[in-house]
Amino acid sequence: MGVRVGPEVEVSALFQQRATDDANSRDRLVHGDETALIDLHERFSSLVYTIAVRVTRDSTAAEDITQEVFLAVWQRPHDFQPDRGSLRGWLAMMAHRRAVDLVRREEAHRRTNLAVRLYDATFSRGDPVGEQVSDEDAAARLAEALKALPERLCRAITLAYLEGHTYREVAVVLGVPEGTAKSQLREGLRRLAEALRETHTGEVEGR
Amino acid sequence: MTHDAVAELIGAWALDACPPDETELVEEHLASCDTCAVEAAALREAAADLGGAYLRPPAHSLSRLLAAAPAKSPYGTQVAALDLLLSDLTPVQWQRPALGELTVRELVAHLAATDSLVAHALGLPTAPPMPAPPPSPAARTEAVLRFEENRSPSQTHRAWRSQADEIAKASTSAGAVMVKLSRTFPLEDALTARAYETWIHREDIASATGRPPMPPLPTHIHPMADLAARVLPRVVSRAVASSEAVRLHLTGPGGGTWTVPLDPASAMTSPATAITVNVVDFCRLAANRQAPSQLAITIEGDIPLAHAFLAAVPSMAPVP
Repeated sequence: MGVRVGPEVEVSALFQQRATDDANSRDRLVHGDETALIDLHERFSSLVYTIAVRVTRDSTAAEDITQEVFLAVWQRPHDFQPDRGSLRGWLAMMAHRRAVDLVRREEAHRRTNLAVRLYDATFSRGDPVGEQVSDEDAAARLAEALKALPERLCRAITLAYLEGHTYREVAVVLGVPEGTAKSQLREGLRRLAEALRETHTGEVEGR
Repeated sequence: MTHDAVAELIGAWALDACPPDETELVEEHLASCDTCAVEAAALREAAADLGGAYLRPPAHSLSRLLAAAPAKSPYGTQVAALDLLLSDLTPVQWQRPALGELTVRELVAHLAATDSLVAHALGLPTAPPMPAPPPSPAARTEAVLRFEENRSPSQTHRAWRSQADEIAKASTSAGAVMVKLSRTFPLEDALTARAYETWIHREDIASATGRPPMPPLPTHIHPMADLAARVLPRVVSRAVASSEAVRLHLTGPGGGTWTVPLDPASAMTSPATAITVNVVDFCRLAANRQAPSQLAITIEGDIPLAHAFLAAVPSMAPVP
């Protein structure tokens, strides 16, 4: 009590705690504990499902991807390495990769037959498939962070992450060299990571 | 690929926007470059936020998941749990004594040796090849220890793990197979015995390397306790001459009540004594990892008989 520590120390403690919690979840899954799977679904199904919906624009496909991701975690929990990133980031990656694979496979069909785009190319707050909004704050913070990005970086990231384009396709769509597309993606994500870190610091101080 | 060329690609990689061949190159590089791994992890975290997490999956998502999630077998689970522990060991820890004179690595080879008797019964190949007829677990352990002598810990680790995976896979479709371990068991009991021993040796290794013990789940400890209760009459009758029976109340999640006749040949009589003890403690006792005096035990009825029984229980070990 009474000892003040800088935000860096608190953020580092926060990440340390996160890594320990993630490792515990992983261990419980390895030991076959079904309650760990239920906890994980409770905490992260919105994250996984939202990524899948936004990339595939198909709620049925997104539901299937959500199932696949959590089943994969149940069957191969030891694939998660706590020292290489968070459980949250890992789940998001599995969801996103599956969604992108699906979109790329169905790309031709999807892009020629979808008469009405369900989303703008930029970030829509709309709810095309009718699910309940579960975390408006998160959506607002994200919109805020994206708005702060220069238009070219925001556009490059949107094309890559939400539309499932490779950086080479991003370069073609934006009419820039591939090297520029690569560095825009990296620079944009770096700035978002920075904004994200500030959000985490705010959360710690607000406790 | 050079460090700089990979570093350029990290943003695209974190967004899954690299073609497959470049994804592979980036991931190879990340495994060996801490600087890039740190940046990659941070960018991945940022990418995870891009979805927004504001839509909920349909209400039946969880029930559908639980219905689809295959139940885990006790053996497969204990193998995975030991594998997790082994993956975390330093080279020095692999050489620590874990049980008697056996080091951690030798104890893993011992597990692989007894497992190989199950593998052989399932028609799987074994290394070294299994002599005919299959030897006792102790003789097989000696043969495997000699075979593994000059191998590295990671080779022994992989050999144990891949054989265990083959056993788990083959046993799901196996018919009525009998397995000769220290006794002859139907396959299902043999796998329970292997789960039991894998758990006990995992705790040996955990204790030798300064990690906390972690018992199996209640649904997995129950068949182990049941196997012990069924094997005990033959074990205890060697030390305790009695035609009475013991009632075992094993408490805690996964527990239950068993009646153990002390003379396997005699007809079931009503129990002369009742012993109440925690199920995990009892399983450790039967594996000779705890002494009766260390445990919280309640006895009713014939107290000397109960003590004689408890003293004989650890002779069931080494775990069948």
